Amino acid sequence: MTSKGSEPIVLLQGTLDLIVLRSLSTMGPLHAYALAARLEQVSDAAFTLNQGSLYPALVRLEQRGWIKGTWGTTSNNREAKFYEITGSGRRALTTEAARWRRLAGLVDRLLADPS
Amino acid sequence: MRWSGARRWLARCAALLRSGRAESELAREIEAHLTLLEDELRGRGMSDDDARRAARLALGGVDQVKERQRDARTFRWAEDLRRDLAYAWRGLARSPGFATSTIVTLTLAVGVTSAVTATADAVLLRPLAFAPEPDQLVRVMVHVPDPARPDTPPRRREATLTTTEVATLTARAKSLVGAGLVSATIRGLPGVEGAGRLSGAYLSIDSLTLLSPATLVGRPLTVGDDGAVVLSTGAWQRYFGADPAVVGRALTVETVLGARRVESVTVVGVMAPTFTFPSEQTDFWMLPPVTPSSPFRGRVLARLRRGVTPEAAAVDVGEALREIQQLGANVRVELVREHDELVGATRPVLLALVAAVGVLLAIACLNVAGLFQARALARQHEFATRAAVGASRGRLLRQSLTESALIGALGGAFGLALASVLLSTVRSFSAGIGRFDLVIPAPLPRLHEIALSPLIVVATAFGGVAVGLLAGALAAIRASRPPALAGMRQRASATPAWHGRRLLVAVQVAGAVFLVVGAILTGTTFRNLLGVDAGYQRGHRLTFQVSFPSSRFADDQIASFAETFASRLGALPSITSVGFANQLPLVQLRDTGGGLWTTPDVTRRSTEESADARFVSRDYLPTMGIPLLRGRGFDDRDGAGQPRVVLVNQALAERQFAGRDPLGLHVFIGRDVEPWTVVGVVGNVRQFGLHQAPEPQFFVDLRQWAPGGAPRFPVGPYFVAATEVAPEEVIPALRGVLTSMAPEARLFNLASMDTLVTASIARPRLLATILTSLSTVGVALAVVGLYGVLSYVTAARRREFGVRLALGATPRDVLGVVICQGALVVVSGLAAGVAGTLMLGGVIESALFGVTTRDPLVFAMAALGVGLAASVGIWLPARRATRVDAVEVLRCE
Repeated sequence: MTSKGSEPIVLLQGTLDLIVLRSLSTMGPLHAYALAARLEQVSDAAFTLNQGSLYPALVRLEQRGWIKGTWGTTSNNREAKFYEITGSGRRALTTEAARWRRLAGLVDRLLADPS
Repeated sequence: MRWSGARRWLARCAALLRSGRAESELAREIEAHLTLLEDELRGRGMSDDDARRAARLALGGVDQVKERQRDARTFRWAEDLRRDLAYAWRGLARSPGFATSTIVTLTLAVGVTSAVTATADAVLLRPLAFAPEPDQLVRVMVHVPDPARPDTPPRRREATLTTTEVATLTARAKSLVGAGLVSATIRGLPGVEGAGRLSGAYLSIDSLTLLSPATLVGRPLTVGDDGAVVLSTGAWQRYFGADPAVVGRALTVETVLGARRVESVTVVGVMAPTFTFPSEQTDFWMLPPVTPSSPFRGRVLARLRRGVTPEAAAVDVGEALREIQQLGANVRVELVREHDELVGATRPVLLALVAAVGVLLAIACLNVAGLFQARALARQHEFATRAAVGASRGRLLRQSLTESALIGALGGAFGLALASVLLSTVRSFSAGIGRFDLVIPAPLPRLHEIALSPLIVVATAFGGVAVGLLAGALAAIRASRPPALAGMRQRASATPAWHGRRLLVAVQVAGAVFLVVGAILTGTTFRNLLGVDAGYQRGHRLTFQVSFPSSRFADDQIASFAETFASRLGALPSITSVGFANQLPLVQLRDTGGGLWTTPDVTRRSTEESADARFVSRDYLPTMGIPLLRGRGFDDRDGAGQPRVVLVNQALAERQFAGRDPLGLHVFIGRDVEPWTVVGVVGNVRQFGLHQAPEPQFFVDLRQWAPGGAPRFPVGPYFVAATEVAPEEVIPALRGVLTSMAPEARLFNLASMDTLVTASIARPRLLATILTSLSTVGVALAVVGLYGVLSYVTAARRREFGVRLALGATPRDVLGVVICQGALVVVSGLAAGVAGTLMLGGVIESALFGVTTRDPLVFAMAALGVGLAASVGIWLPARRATRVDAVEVLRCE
């Protein structure tokens, strides 16, 4: 499914939020550009993502209180807004990830169903 | 999860309010993002320009990203609404004429409607606040026919009963829960600083039980509470600084009906502010005095059993009352709800006003609709252009509706502001003269309760927006039609939708007629009242009373004091003469003196139809300017012990001595068998109000009057001074004389007769003022509506007129066509208005004086006035039609 040359994947609604949460939880505070670069790297360019698509996800997560943005400077001395996962963000990640796994498992089972 | 959802929703709402910071933050963040990207790309060896382009491409377009972030950050619809509103605002600012006229129209309509509705709601609809289940509280009225004047309607008065009689009534009348006595006849608390004379009421313990009032401080009156007094919240705040320690304080009250008594009382409590019974002016309450010699009498307050109507109970109560008081069979007993009696004459007035504002509102709505239509037509071109460059019809419609809603909301908001200004004006107007001893009612009852209720505010706000939206929607749907089609249709028929508009304008004209008729009727009523001959002089007359410090002044002493005081005042240079009497015109107190009879009889009682008795000083009649018609007035021959004489007024002379010359006749007053001689006939006086026909009266000189136990001056003597200067200017001199005679005495109830008479017609004046303003607004709106519609129609027929002119028609012909068209609409509107007003006018009948709702002259004047005003609205567009340039029009063809 992730092999090169097949159609790029369009992300399901809400999955991007989960991915962002997960990235922040493993990588620590990141700015939007670093997040985008990280996603491109991990997905091996398998799904199409304008870097700008992160912004609605970031504002949604921030408004839910799951991440928190603060201005800081990058290693090469540029200003950027760094996002950090919050306590409630970590809890949400656990429940949301479990939910996602259940859903994915269900879809898998249905697809595997021979009838 | 749920909480985070709620949190996000709140954050989105908050984001709506302060989008500025979030926007700049977003811009900064994206800028930083692009810089990082460019750094990276340049690091890979791209040129600056390439890096910048590539960075923007990778991001996905700055504006698109911002737009998507905004969607997530706030609510799209709200954000759109804000943009639409801003756009609508700019649109309105571009056409200030349209914006102003619609908003002003809506403001006037909404403001006036909510003010009048709020007043009517407070006065007519809201239940009385002073007792639970107030609709079951009734008064007992009797209608007593006058055998001497069978053609006149019976006189209606309140039944007055003694304590024992009302107990019998309660026991016999099964339809009543109970009945008690009320008598608003105490004055005083003279010891209270600044209070002057307060008004108090006796409430029997049964009345109090029926009312079950709440107290604010202390306790209510209970059985056996002799010498206890309870204050109103108003009096407590005004005169006692809302001091809770007032309970237990000793005060003095004066009883002024029956035997005049001064007694010391103790405050036991303060009533809740809602307790305004029997009147809003009542300052304190006491239990009726227990006096075995002369039993206490008062008017009846009764509570009906649940489910019993006053009409049904009247049978029951009537039977009991007939037995108790030996009323004649021809006396009708009526039970009236306290609320109805309180509202009384105001009801038709307020109903008329509600009808009038209803008409005004309709006119305003039609007008706004017309204005929107005209604007929509004017914008057809703009909309067509925008549609051509890709705006959807829905988008255009939505913009129009936003604009309409904005106009509606602004009109509603300004209207509410106007309403609250109007209401405060009404409240100040309605304050009236605030004197309890006069027959002058406040222009409106339940004054303190008049306010914009939340319901009215909400209804108004929605109403304004609804009118705007509806008018806008109708117009917008028309305007957003494909323009080519509309253009073609315009060719086919020269006057599109003229029929609908004609009806619109005709209805406006009809409404204007209704309002103008109302204004003329009430205006005429007010002028008639102003012009009525009261029978006395009101200019240069100062009236006043004297409050004596204590019980040291017995009845005889007051009489002699008054006489000396009057003669000393009469000697003042600025005063022509001074008189006094037991009551003045417009004072409530009635007295028959036992009746005036042509034969002696020691057993009879005065009856309802007995003439009004006036006990006056020697100079009272000339001082008041009451003319002597025949015989002589009182003079020095009429002192105590000299031959007893009486004067009669013309009405009494005509009634009692039919055909005979009363001069020199012997008459008898009350049960007194000693005769009095009629020595003069004086002019009629409208004693109880300018609108009331003069009653038969007789006059006795106070020097000769020995009332036999009853007080000479039931509410103290009323003085009147005829002054050479403005009445108020003599007050200091007057005060000086009083202080020199009795240092502790005080002047009170100071008012010029002019002020009193003016106050007595404040209600008709209020009504006339309101209706005149309403009709002015209504006519102006109708004329504007007519003008707008005719302008539009004329503009639409430009081509036709051009062709006509080219084919040889004169400008006169074109003028004629337009005028005919307008005149037809106006005339049909006038006819409809006259017909409608004839049907609805009856509601105001009882508020009129000297003019009727079927007066053809009034209708002719109203129709003429509205017609003349309308002709302006016709003439201007008609003139414009004649200026059409035939050549230019044909070239356009």
